[in-house]
Amino acid sequence: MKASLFCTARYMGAAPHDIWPLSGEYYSGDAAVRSMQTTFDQFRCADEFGFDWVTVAEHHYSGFSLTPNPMVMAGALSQIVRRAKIAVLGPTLPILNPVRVAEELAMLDTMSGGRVVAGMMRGTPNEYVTYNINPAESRERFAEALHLIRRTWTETRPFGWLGRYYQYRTISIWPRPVQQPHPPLYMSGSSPEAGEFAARNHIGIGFAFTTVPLAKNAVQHYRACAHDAGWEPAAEDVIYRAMFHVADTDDEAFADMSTLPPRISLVDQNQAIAEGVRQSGYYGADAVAQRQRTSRRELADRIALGQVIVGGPDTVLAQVQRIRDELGAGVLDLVVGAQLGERTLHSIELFGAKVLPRLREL
Amino acid sequence: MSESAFAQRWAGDGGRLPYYEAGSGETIVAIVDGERLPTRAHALLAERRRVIVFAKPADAGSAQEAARRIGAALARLGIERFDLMGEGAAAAAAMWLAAAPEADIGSVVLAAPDGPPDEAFREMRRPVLVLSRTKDQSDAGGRYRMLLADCHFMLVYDAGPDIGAERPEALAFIAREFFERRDLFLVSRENGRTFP
Repeated sequence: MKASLFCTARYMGAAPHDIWPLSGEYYSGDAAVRSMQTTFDQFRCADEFGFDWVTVAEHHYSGFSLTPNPMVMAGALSQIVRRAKIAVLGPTLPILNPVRVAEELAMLDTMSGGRVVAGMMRGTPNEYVTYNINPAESRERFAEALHLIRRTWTETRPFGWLGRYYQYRTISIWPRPVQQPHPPLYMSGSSPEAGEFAARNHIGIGFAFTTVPLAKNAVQHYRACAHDAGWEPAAEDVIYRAMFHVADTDDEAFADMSTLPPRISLVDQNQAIAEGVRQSGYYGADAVAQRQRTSRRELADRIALGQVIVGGPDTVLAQVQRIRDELGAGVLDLVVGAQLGERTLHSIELFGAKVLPRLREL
Repeated sequence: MSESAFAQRWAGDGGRLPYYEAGSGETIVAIVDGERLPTRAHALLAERRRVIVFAKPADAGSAQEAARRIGAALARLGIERFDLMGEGAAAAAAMWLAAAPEADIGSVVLAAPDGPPDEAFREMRRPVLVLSRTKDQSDAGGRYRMLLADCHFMLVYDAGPDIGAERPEALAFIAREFFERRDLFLVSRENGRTFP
């Protein structure tokens, strides 16, 4: 099993964590610079302590993440992180220009010497407000954009694209991906529709901020659809993301995590947006389960459901092993759970030194 | 305008070659190989142009012979200058017609061409736009692209062999752009303003 470190570049200044969009009145440039430097330190540490990947993602208008363009962060990481793969999980495809996404990922793949993992996401629902895109169009935009991006990477002669949402008279991207035919592709597999699409198009899946029981059902569905499509996903075709914090002992780790405020998902930070997105049909056929993913829960429940991995090295290994056994996931995407300065760096070191070597044997 | 606006007429030697006509203005000739004609795309084109649709004659034997018969029919109708669209397996007939030295053809659109292109098409000097489908694994469009070094090539997303029926608005839009502007169609002239 492989491990990735996902640091959202959380804003470290004083600001509410339950409002979206977050007002710029709370913003301090100094705090933001410090946040970025801390992020770089944590990614550097993960690379040094053997993490297989580092992960960046796209979020807007929030202190939860200072990477509205994850490609920029990934570009910096291509020069800081020397060994680990750089997983862009990912651009919020339906709200972006897909040719630009293809160009940027190809550029990153070149800058990193072929270390890019390309996750194509629909994003958190609030992001549709960011660039004023109708969330009802999300799946169709996503599907078309993904097909187009694959073409930009594999067509060697200029071509035009006459889509339903996108139109280009001629495309011929430079640079092109180092990895051939293109970097490994992932997408969210949380909904049945997504699992079917991923299986049909031979794409890996990832789960973020869900629960192990929900992900387990989704993985089974994905594997069944892949079987129908004539292929068998490998363990590495499934990524599971969970928040983590490791300390020398369980007590210390739990004490650290108990200082954190309850997590409120970005979409739930704005009820008008949450309701508007729900009415748009964004969640698809499995809407109730999709909304359960982000329900507010106590820490103990979140651990039990596999949303949070916390404890000393042995406890954390057991929690990871359970996730591995339940899901057959081959990549664990670990979100920095607590921004506690040196203790967070120590958490990354402990995971790399005391959990990861044993994780490899799973 | 709908497909029902097209009138069926007869042309060619002995008036045995059926065709469909609608619209007014400069002429577009479409050669198709399907049974369902005219399509919605033809109707959309006929809103601004005179559109004449021929089915590829089933008894012509070869694409070259089909082109000869349609060329003769057009001559009898007095149609000397036109833009040309070849669809599906009729793409080759359209290319042979475009290759005829006496033809005064502005530009050529090949929609989901089917079947192998003839090596002779390599000499084509008229502007050609090849529209290739994405729904299936056919690479016929790609083979035309390889042969026609200077052609334009576009993928029509979510379309199978019958682009005119599956993506009529897209086909009519891009064909009209190419017929009117030829190579300049690369530059968009769409209004991007959200509000005036």
